[in-house]
Amino acid sequence: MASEKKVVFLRSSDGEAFEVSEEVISAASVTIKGMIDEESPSRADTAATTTLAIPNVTAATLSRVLHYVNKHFDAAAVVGRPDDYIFCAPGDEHPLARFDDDFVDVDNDTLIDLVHAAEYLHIKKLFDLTCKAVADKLKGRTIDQIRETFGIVNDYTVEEEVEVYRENSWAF
Amino acid sequence: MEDAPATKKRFQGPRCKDSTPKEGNEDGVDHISRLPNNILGEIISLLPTMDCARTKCLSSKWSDLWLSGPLNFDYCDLKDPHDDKDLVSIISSIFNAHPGPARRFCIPAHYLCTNIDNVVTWLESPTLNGLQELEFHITEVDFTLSLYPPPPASIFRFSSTLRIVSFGGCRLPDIMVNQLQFPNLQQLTLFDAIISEETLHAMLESCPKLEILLMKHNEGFRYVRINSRSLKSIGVHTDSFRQGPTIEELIIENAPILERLISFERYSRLHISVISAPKLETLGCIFENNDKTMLTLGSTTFLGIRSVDMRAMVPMHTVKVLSVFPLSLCLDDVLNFIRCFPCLEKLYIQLSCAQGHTNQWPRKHRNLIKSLDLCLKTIVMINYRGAAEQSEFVTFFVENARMLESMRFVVPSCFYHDKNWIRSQNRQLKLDKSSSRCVSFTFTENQFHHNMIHVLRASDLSAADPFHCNC
Repeated sequence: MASEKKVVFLRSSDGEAFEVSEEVISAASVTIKGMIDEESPSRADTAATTTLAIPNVTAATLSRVLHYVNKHFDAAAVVGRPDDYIFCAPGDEHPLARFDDDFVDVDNDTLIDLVHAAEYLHIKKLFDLTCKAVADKLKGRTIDQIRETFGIVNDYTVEEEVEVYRENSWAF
Repeated sequence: MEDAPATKKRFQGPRCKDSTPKEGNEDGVDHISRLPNNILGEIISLLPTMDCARTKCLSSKWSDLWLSGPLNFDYCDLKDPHDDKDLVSIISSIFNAHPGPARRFCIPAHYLCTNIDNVVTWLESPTLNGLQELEFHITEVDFTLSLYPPPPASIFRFSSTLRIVSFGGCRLPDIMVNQLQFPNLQQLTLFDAIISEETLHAMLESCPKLEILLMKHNEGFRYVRINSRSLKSIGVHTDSFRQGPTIEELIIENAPILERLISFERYSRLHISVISAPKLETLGCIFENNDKTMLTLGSTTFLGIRSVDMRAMVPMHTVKVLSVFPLSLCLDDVLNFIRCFPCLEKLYIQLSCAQGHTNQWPRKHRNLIKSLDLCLKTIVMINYRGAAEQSEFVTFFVENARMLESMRFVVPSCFYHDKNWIRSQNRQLKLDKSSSRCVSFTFTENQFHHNMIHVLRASDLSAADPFHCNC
């Protein structure tokens, strides 16, 4: 049993299948672990591999997510202590910090897709990482810069806008 | 490792060519508002307090989003954190609007004296339910405060959720000993706090997950013994201006995963003794204090940085980063000292102004350096002024430390802005012909004179290199 590595296939919303170690993805994703656990009684005595449908995630996003998962949750690949690093301060030299920085250095659309996927698949570390990356794009920016960056349409009337600025004048 | 560059290439979609933030919105579509409110609330709660409040002005959708994530309030983020009148009204209006829960609440420690009624109201408010980080924050000891009040008992309703606590400018009386128990606490700061030895030890024992302990300018205890399976970083700063007892001895009895042990004060009377810390990587600052024993590592006792008995010295192979503050810069002493740390990679040397030593290094060091086999990659010399013994010291390492990759000189501003001085230093140190190896040399300005290490919060101790100065 230990020598055989079980794999599962994940099918993206646009129909592409990705192979991943069952052990690794179960450690990473609460959602997929739940799916596998539900499937397991029926496949206990068969050698067939399982294919799980992931209807909310596209192939492009899923392949990124799996790259992250293999980096962070494959015990053979992980160096150091993966559980600790969520609480590390910025600038910490976690072995995967560099990987993480590069991983979220993507355009807004891709990043938002990753947040969605991390939430749907319930991968807490990836969710925290991507939320923080979005927050970093909001941090220290003016209202106009944020609106421009993310295409947020200002739907306040002039009066409303004056009022909301007045209420929060201490923040400017 | 093929990861970093390859990953980027592999995954760059057609629209990622411009990854600079301002090009983020090429198509004019509001991507971020696709996210559900609870996730946006979560993201907003990661922002500093001012940025968080500003998001309300983005659009009507955003006006209440900040209420759907946990409250994250830190007065240090504000424009004028010391404007007390405004601060109270700002906090009160936030508490009126936000239903909770909260992640972080950080207020000035002196509010425990000056605004205790407000503090109690806030602490009891449902807004702070589930609080994870509570700080009564100070940046330096406030000598105008003579009262050291205990924190309100209402803080203990967060005992099980708190991960970060900072007790500044307050007293933790012995009668609280049974309440000072935080099963999930990871970072504890005691800054200008009064606590007895017994209560401190009981508290440390009752925090089984504590990873970082920062103790600055406290009173009430002389000896601290550390027995902890969870502590990774300890920072300690003594205070010689106190009337009551202050820390004199820090004994690391058993700390199996302790990585960093950092003491700050130059004129400290603190004796550090390490009995068992098999993972210790970062150690400093080791101060020389006229003929007083300051450091004991296992069976090796040091007078300043001089070992009392070199033959009894047991090398510490785990230490990679070391910071020393010798009274005068003596090459022999430093070389002998770093022999205790055969795997040392980065050495900080804080230079004092004392002069008169000579560090000419004739042949006698040739043999030493062979047996020493330095692994040093980086040397940082702080307060470098180019005095003879300093430059002799530097050239010794440049020519003998085979693994040396970089040397940094943190110099006083007047030297830093003097191009001729820098040029002459380059000549004097023979930096231009540093043989076949590629050693980089940089000069940076020393803008921070009195406080060598910027550690205000426990989390600062976990920075990649706590001795590195970013200013």
